Amino acid sequence: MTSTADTGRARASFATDALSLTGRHVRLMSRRPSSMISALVLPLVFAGLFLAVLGRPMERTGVDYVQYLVPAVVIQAMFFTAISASIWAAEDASGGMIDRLRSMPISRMSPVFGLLGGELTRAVASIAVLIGAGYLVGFRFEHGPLWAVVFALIALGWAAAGCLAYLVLGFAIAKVETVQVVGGLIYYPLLLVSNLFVPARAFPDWLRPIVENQPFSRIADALRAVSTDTTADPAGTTLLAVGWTLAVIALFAALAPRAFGRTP
Amino acid sequence: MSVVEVEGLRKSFGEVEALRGLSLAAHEGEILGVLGPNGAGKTTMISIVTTLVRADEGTVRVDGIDVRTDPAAVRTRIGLTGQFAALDDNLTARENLTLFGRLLKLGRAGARERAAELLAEFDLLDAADRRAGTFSGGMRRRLDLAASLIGRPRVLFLDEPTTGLDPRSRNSLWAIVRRLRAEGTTIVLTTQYLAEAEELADRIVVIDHGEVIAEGTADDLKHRVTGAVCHVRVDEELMPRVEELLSSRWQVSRSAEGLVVPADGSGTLVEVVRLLDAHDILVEDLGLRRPTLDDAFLALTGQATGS
Repeated sequence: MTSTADTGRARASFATDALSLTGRHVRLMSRRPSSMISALVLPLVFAGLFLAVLGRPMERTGVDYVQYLVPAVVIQAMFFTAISASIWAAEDASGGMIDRLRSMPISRMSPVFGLLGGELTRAVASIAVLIGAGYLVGFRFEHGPLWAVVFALIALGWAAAGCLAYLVLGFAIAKVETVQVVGGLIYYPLLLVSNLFVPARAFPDWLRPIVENQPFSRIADALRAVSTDTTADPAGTTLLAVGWTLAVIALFAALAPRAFGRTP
Repeated sequence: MSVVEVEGLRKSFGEVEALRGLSLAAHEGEILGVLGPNGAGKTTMISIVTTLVRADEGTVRVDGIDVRTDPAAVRTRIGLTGQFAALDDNLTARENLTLFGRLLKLGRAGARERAAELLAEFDLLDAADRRAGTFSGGMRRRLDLAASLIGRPRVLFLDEPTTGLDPRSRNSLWAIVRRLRAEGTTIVLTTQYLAEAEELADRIVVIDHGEVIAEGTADDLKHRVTGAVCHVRVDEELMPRVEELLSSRWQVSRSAEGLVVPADGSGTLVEVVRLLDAHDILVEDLGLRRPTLDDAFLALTGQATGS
């Protein structure tokens, strides 16, 4: 047998392994209609709904609601991406895939980065669709193209942080239904008790400090400051958003090996 | 030479002791059958040997390499076919195999070539470009097994490979396993089916409650149960009543053929007949025979297997 000659070639390589697994994930997502809909159609549906329900009352209070809404639906789409990551992680962990990958001579964390890479590819598509649709209804990058790039990078950074957190959740729980429930319990309060869809001043006084300071509002502040010409300081809010993003990434990067290694 | 050496393996999950000092060895080129009921510790043992789980105590060597100190080197020498198929339903059979080939660094062309080779070898060429999700249970198993062989492992671990398969698919999988052995692959196979262990394994290790309780060839194990057994078959509806009746005098077990009691010569046979006759029970079949591996397993573990 030629066994030793052949298996001798197998060497863990982080880049090759993560790239192969990213390719796998992108291909799988592209073949699952529900995945494509939640990436490309659902964010647009929400954008349309919020615009229809809140557009007129918000305009009356002096808010340019299209400018206000695009950052919010971008953040919501990044949340959808994270939820998708957690479901794929739970599927891989509850089936036999993760066991096989972990018994193979590949880079240890590459399955996690494969899912992350695939989801970030999906996030780029979501952002492009939302900004494209936003442009059709009057959204503009009022600070010019450089800040538009910053806008995309902040959104992608936040998608990476969210995906990493939800991947940890998915691998640790390893049951699709439970992951969906827990993921939803995190998603709804963070999304709605924020300044994403209405300004913080719409909330009762006692709730306002939470609304203003929770990370999703801070990311929204930054996305609005770099896209819309207001009194907000683009550089300062961006730094704060980057700080939050790095903090979440650091926390869940520390937890990831544990969650991944623990998979039954 | 032992390709897999397991010594004094212990593993607990919380309060549950899954493995309690398990030792076994698989020799070069053989099929080692690891036989045991559900919950005996078979899968835990496989998970430790294949580097997925760390043991609390004990040592495992694969091809002379310690799994604790150099798991990465162990991974280049093993293939694992677990209880759950490690396949992507939305990828075709060819795409599934090619992905693993890429991960094993066969290169783009090499991975494609190896995939085609295995598809032919496992009789999957006609279905090569269909998605794995459309496959029957038997085809999925074959594809999953093919995937674990891409790197030409020295040792293949098969965790209950035929559970849930129909007899025809099972036979075709058995034929594949035999062919792999003929080609020189060492195989460790867990099963809860005696027929499977008897059919495939060169040696059998019987484990229960995380320990080895017997070891040897199928014939060795059969000889562990001396004497004969008396088997009784009655109408299905009468079974519970007859079981109760016989239990008052003997240690009764159920098998595929009906009820079985240990026989002490033909006297037992006569006593069974008298007892059943006294209760006006019509017997469909009754007789003495030599113990099977099933009986040996029952005698060793005190419980029936999945067969």
